[in-house]
Amino acid sequence: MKIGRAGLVVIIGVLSLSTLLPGQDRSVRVIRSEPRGITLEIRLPSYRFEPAIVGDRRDREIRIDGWGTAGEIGDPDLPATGALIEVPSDGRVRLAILSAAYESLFGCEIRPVPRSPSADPDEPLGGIVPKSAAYSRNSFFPGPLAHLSEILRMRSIPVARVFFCPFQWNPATGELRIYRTITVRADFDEPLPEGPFAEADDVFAGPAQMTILNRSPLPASPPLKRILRSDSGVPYQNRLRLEIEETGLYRLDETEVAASGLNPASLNPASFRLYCQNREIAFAFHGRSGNAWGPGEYLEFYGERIDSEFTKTNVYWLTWESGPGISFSNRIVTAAGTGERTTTFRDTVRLEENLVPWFQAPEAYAVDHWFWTKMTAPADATIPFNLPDDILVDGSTARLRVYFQGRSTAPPHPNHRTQLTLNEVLISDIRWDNDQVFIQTAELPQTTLRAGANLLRLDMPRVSTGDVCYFNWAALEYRRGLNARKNEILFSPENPGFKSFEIGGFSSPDIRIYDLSEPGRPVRLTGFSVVDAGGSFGARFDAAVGESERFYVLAADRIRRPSRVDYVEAGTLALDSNRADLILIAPRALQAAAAPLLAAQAARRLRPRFVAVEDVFDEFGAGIPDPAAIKAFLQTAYDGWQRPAPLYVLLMGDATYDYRDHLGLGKENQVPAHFSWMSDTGLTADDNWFACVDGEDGLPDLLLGRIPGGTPETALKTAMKLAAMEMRRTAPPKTVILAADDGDDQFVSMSDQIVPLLPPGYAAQKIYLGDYADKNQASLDLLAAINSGAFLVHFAGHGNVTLWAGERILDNAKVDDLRNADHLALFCAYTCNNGFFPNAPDDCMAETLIKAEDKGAFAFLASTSSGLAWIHEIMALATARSLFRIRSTSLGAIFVEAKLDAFARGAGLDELAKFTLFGDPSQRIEIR
Amino acid sequence: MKRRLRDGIRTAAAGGELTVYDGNADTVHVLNATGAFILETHRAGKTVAEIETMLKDAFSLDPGKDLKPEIRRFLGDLKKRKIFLP
Repeated sequence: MKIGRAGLVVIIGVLSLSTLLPGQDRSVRVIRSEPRGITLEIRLPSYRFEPAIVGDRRDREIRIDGWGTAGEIGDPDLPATGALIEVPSDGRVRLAILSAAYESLFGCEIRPVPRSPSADPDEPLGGIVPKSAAYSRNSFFPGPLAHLSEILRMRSIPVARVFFCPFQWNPATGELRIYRTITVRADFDEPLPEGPFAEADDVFAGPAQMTILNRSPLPASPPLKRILRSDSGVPYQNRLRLEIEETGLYRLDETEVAASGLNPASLNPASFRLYCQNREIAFAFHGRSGNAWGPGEYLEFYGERIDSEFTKTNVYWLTWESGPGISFSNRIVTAAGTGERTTTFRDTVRLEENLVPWFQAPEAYAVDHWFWTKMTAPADATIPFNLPDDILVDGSTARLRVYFQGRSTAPPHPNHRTQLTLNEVLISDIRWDNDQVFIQTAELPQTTLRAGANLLRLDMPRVSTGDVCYFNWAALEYRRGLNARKNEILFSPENPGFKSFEIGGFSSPDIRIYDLSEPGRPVRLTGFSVVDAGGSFGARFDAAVGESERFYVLAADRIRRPSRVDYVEAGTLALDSNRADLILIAPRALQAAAAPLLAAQAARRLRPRFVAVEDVFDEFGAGIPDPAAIKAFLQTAYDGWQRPAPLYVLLMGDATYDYRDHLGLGKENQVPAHFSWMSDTGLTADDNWFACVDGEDGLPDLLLGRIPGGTPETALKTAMKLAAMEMRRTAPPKTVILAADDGDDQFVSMSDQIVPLLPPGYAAQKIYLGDYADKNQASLDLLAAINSGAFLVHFAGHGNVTLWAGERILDNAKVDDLRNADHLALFCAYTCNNGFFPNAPDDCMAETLIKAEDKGAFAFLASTSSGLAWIHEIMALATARSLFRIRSTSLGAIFVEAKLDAFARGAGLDELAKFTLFGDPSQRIEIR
Repeated sequence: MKRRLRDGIRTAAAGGELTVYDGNADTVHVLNATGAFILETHRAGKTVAEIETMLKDAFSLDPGKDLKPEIRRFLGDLKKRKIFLP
C-alpha cells in the first residue's frame, strides 16, 4: 500500500474560539453558534485498520470506537459520526463545507456494512454481502463530506443531524481519502428562538441540552393543540359495547341490557344509533314505538366478523344520545317464478391455519405473515377438507387458489416449483421465483371434486439450493345448490339479470331474507314464499340483480346473540382538562396492583394517572385492541392535556407476538406490543414507537418504560419492588460490573471504554469470559458480584431472549440464585433479544429480572431484537456518558438522552428503537 | 404470637429500607433500617424488651441505653397508621 497526498483544500479562516459544549463529542466541536446558524468542525480521532475476510475478498475494516457508519447494509463500511443541531421550525437550512483537508491511501478494499445476526438458520443475516451498485462505482463513496438529515422533532424542538463522512473511498481505484478536519456551516433562513421559554420541562432539559449543540437554555413545553375528536362522537357518549365473533343477524333484548347494569327503560329507542369501526350501521328495533325500551322489545342488526391481526372479535356500539339512527329498510319482492330459475351458486371454502410466523417476510407489515406451514424442498403437505352433499359434480368449473410466500432466492431461476394435486389429480405444476407472494391458480372440472371428504396435496420438488417457501392458505370456489347450512346461507348470484331464486334446506318455515348489497345497510325482503318440501322448508323470491348483490337467508332460530354486552360510560381520555406527568397504562385488572407504584410516584410530587388499556381501546380504537389506539391516546394526551404535557409513560402488562394466540401458548396480551418494520430484522417489537408523538420521526418525545404484568398478585409484587426503589433514600453501591463475552474483541473493548466514564468513587469489577478457563466460574463470579451489591450490571456479548453468552454466564434459571434484595441493580445488556418482551410463553431476561421477587433488577435496558456490536457500542457508551454524569435525573431522561446521543453519532433510529427500558422511567437516579 | 399486617398493607425492601404501602389509605411509608427491624420483629411476635435486645445486638448499640420508649413510640406510630391488625 502506498500513501499519497493530494488536493489540499484551501482553509477558510474561521478565527473565533471554539467551544466544547456539554455532551459534545471530542471530535465534533462548535466553532460558532448564533441564532442564524452554526459552524462545526470535526477532527478525526485515531483510527485503526483491521482485516475483514468476506468470502474470497480480503477487505479491511476501519475502526473508530463509538462511531457509526456512512452506509447502509451492503455499502462500504466507512466510519462516520455526527451531531444534533436545533434548526428553525420551518426547517430551511443550508449546509456548506467551509474547509476540508485530506490524505489518500491507495489499494484499499473496504468491507461492506454487515447485517444483524439472526437466530433463524434459514435467514441469510449476519452475513456480509457487498451491494453491487456501491462496489461497482468509479466515484467516491459515500460522496458528500457532510450532510443534513431530514428535520426531526424532539418534544417540539426541530432538530437535524449533521453527519460527517471523513472517509471517502473509490471502489474502482481503491483510493481511500481520509479527511483529518472538515468544517461546515449550517445557515438558517429564520433565526432560532432565543432565551428561556415560559414553561420549561426541566427533566427533558437534560436530553435536549446534552445532545443538541446549539440548544437554548431551556426547552419549551410542547405547545397546546386542540384535541381532534372522533367524527362519530361515539367514544364520548354513554354506550353499549356489543362483542360478536361470527357473521350473521344478531338480536339484543332488554334482559341483556339490564345485565350490563343499565336500565333499559331509561333508553329511548328513537334515539338509538349503531356503529362499528366508527361507521354507522343500520338496525331494526322491534317494539311498540314507545320512548323506553320495554319488556319483550329487541334490537336486531347484521354483524360481521373481523379477521384482523389483533382479534377476531368485532365490536358494535349502541348509543342513545344523538339519534335517530339508520333503520333497516324493507323491500317487497314477488315469488312468481318469472325470472331465470336459480338453484345454485358459487361457494368458496377457505382452508387456512396460522401456525408459523415469518416476521421478515417482505412487506410483512402490510401482508399476512402467519402461515400454515413452512416447506423446505423437497416437501409435501396434505390438506383434507370436506365439501357439502349438494356440490354439483358436473361440467362446472371450479377454481383453486393457493397462496405461497417464497423465501429463498438462490439460483437457478425460477427457483421454486409447486404442484397442486386434488383428489389424486394433478391440476397445476408451476415454477416461480424468489421471496414474492405467489398465488397459484388452477381451474378444474367439478368432476374432480367429491361430496364429503376431499384431499388437497401440495408438492414442492427441489429446484434450487435451500429452496424454501411457506404455504399460507387455499381457497376453492365451486358451484353447489342453494341450500342452507345450519339454517342460514349467504350467497351472491353468479351474474346479473332477473332471477327466481329457490333456496332450500331450512328446518323451520320462519325464514328471513336480507339483501346485503350495500355494506352496513341491510334491506329486509318481504313477499317471498315459503315452501314446505316435506321435512324441510325453502324460500322462493324474484329479484333483479346486478354485479354486487348479496343475500342472507336464515331461519329465525339462527339469530345470534352478542357474546358480551357491556355498558361503557362516555370516554374522558380526550378531555383537555386532564393533567398528568406520568401515564401508567395497564389492564383494569391490574389497577390495584399498580397502586403502590402510583402512590410512590405521587409521593415524589409527580402527578401520575392510571389509564385502563381497555378504555384506550374503546376510546381510540373502536374497541379493537390495536396498539395504534395506545399511540393515538398518547398523541392526544401530549397534544391536548393540560400543560406541561405528560412526560412519562409506563406500560404495565405482558405482551405476545401472537396477538390471537394462534399457537395456543396462552400468554395474555395485556398491553400489546407494536411491531415496526426494520430493514435488517423485519417486524421488530418497538415500544419506542409509542413515545414518538411529535412529528413523524423516530425520536422519542415521551420518556417511556415497560414492566411486566401477569396476574394481579405478580404485578403487585413487581410494583411494590419498584415502589420501594423509588422511595429508597440510601445511596446505591458504587460498584459497576462489566461482564463481557469472549469470541469478539469488541465486547471487551466496549466494556473497557466504560471505565474512564465512571465518576470518582465508582469501581469497575470486570468479569470477562475470555479471562476464565473455567467458564462456569465466570458465571459464579458474576452472581457473587451481583449479590455483593452493584449499581450497574453491564453486559456486552452474544445472547438471546433468556441468556448471556453461549456459556450462559447468566440466564433466567440462574436468577433464582441471586440474593441482592438490598441492592437491586440496573442492568444494561448489549446483546441480542434480552428485551424481546413479546416472547411467549417464557419471559425474556429483562422481564425475569424485573419480576424476580426481592432480587434482580429495578430496571433493565435491553434490545428487543438482534443487532450489531458497533451499534451496541455506540449505545453502550452513550448510555454510560448519560448515566454517570454527576446529577439527579430520571431513568427515562438518561435513556432518551443516550438514544439521542447515539443517533447523533451515527446509530440508526431503527436500531435505537430496539432498545427498550424495562422499569419506571420516572425512577430517580442520583450520581454523586 | 405473630402479629398480622392489616389487609391492604404490602411491604418491600430496598437498600436496607422498607417501603410500606397502605392500600386502604393509598399511601406509602418508608422505614429506615432500624424501623424496618422493629416492624419485622414486632410482626414476628417479639415483646418490646425482646425487640430492644435484638435491636442492640443487630445494630451494635449501647447495651446500657434504654431504647424501649423509642420502640414503643415507633410501634405506637405504626398502630396510629393502622399498619397492624388490632
